[in-house]
Order: sequence, then C-alpha cells, then structure tokens
Amino acid sequence: MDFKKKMGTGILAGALGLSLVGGGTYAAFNDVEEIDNFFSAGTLDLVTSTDVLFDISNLKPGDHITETLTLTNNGSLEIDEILLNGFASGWEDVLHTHLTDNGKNSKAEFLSQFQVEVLEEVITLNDLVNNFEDKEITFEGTETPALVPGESMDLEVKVTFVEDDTRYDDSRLFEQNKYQGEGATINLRFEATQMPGEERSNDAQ
Amino acid sequence: MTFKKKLTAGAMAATLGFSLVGVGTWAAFNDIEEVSAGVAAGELDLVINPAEGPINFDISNLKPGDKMTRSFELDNNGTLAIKEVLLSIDQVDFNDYIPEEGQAGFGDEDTYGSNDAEEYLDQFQVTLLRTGTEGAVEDIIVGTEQKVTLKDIYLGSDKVQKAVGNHWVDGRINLASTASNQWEGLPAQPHDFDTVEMTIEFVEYSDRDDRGVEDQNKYQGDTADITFSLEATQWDGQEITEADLNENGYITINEEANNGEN
Repeated sequence: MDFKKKMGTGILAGALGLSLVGGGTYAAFNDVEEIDNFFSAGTLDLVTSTDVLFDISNLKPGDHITETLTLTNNGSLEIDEILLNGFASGWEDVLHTHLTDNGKNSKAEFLSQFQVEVLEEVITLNDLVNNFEDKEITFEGTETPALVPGESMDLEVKVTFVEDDTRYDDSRLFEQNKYQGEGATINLRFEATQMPGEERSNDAQ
Repeated sequence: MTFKKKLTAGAMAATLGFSLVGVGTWAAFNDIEEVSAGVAAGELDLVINPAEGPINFDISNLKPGDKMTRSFELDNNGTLAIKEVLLSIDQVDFNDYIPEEGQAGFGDEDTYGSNDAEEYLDQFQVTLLRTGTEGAVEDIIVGTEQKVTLKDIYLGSDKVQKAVGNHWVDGRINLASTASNQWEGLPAQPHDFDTVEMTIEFVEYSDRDDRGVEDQNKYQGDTADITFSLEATQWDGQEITEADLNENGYITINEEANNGEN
C-alpha cells in the first residue's frame, strides 16, 4: 500500500467513526430487555402488652409483686434475640432526722433494696440499672429466632422489697428505715434484634 | 500484574474498606420498647402523745409504798399499719447512793447500804399495765400477784412472759391491742390509737436484820434513769396483687391490720 492509499483509509475510518457517533438517529438493529427487580424491606416490630408493668406505692419490706408481660412479634421479620436493660428515674432521698445518719442514702442503695427475678436471673434493681450489660432474655441461640412473626412470649417479672434485719449500732432501729417514703421509676427497655443477613433466593412465585 | 488487574484489586479493597466502616450500623433493623415499673416505700411512724398529764415518770424523794400512774397514747402517723409496739428497758443509768461528808446518812451505813441496779429496779413493781381504747381495753398486767417489777421487764424474764400472756413478743411486751380483728395493732386505716396506762409502785415490805434495820434502807438515796424503748414493727411482707392496689397503685391493704386479712 502506498502512502496515498493509507491516507485514504485513514480518512475513511475517520468518517466511519464520525458516523458511528451519530448512530442514535441512524440505522439499526438493536434489542432492549428489561429486568424487573423487587426489593421490599421487612418490618421488625416488638410489641409489649403494657407500657406500665406496675406502679406501686406504700410498700413495706418483705412485700413482693409478680407481673406478667407479654412480648409479641408484630412485624414481618423474625426476631433473633430480645435484650433487656433498665434505667431509673424519679428517685429522691428522703431524710429521717431520728436516725443517726439522718437517713441519708444514695439512689444505688435504695435500688439495691429491690430484688428482681426475671427468667433465671436474680439481680437487684440497682444491678439492672447500673451494672448491667444488655441482658439477653431469650436463649434460642443465633441460628434460631426468639420470636417468629405473630408469636408471643410471656415474661414473668417478680420484684421483692428485700427485708433486711440489720440494725443501726446500739439501736433497735433497722437500717432500712432510711428508705421510708422513697420511690423510683424503672424503665425496662426491651430491644429486639434482626436475624443475621443471609443469602436470599427469590420469593416463591 | 497488569494495570487492569491492579485496578480491580484496588477497587475491591476500597469496597471492603467501605463496608468495614459501616459495620457498626450496618445490619440494623431493631425495635425498642419501654415498660416502666415504679416502686415506692411506705412509712412506718409511731407517735407517742400525752394522754393525761406527763407521759414519763420523773419523780424523786420516793419512799416505799409510793405509787404513780402515767398514761400515754400510741398513735400511728404513717401509711403502714403497725403490728406491735414492743416495750423494753434498754438502758438503766443507776447510781448507788453513798453519802459524802455533809450529806444525809453520812457515816451511818444503816441508811444507805450498797446494792446494784437490778436490786433497785426490783423495788418497783408494775401493778397495772393496760392498753386499748375506751370500750376495748385490755389488761396486760393487773394487781400485785404477778410480782412483775422493772427488773423483770429489764431482763425480759419468764415472770413477765407468764404475766402478760399473748402480749409477750420475743422478750418484750407488746403494748398495742391484740384483739384479732381489724383493730389489731395500730392500723393506719381505720385510724386507731391505743392509750397505755401504767402504774408503778415502790414496794413496801418489812424485813429486819438482828439489829432491827430494814432491808430496804439500802435503797435510800439511790437513783435510776430508766429509758423505755417502744419499737413499732411492721406486718410481714406479703404478695401484692392488683386487687390490693387502688387506682393510683397505692397498696391500701398495707394500711390495714394483718395485711388486710381480718
């Protein structure tokens, strides 16, 4: 091929290239396919049977109350585990001048007077509120859901005002007298978690 | 490695890095529900009010045969029912009189002698101990037959137990009424109070030695500061159910005698 011919091809190629750029309006065999995809997120919804488990006053040492709370999976996703934690509020120290220490005590001391029994666990309200990692209250393990959609579980919670017969030194007065008239509200926080992510195949047709 | 391959590896590393950054929040469907539980302690509060005249004995210059009566009212000022009010003598500050020069009886041992606190307390006999309200009075100790003295109360002796019957609780005397009904003890509801009446007599007996000196002479000039301790107790702890609560969650039956069971 001589130089001229080469150049001609070059120009031709250029022209071709140019015409390809304009291809949209120009000729054409083509084919279009659509793939319809559907991604729908599920719902994870834990429902408790009540907002207030109990709210009791005028307790004396030794008194105890047992209430049942129903936890229901109201969503479309399986619940893997349910975790419990607690927060306390509303406590105020009530002083009693006839006691040698004026009945001074801390919130932690007050909450320690109450024992909570939930499932196998026996702890004080203070531990529940302060020294407590999120506690798993379901034992199915990670492979099995704790609650499948529509399923419920009953959780029995027993709270006892523990009786302690320790007395002040050289006195007939019980140390627990310092807690007279005191109160607190405990918020039990239940967290439901999802199952681990997994490889999914399509919904059955 | 060609450039293309390197690029792919780089892109993959970037993707991995990205997903690692997101780990904390990635999965992340959860739901949180809160349920509240409130607890509040009640109050156990015994008050002692004068009933007629002073509530305490504060008497000097006593002689054998002297008699004194005091009364006081036990009242419940708390929100919890009181089960018992337990009387004991926890503290006695005794002084055996030994006269110094210039004081009465100095040098005459017949008139003061020496004795201990328990002997002195034994000279004071409780001849009446009564509790309750008008119309429902319970006699805990009546008359001289039982021979219950302040020493017996101090020691919590069997003699007291025998004398006071069902008012005996763990070595102490229950001063609250014990009638087994809604008024047992001192309920906060229905509000109740008991009036306690106590008579103490400086016993008088004649017991002379060879020289004719009365045995009781040794108590002359002696003094004792005696503290009565009154402990109010709570009813036993109980199972609380919905039926025991009013609309505010207040445990009404803790105001009542015997945890509301009559």
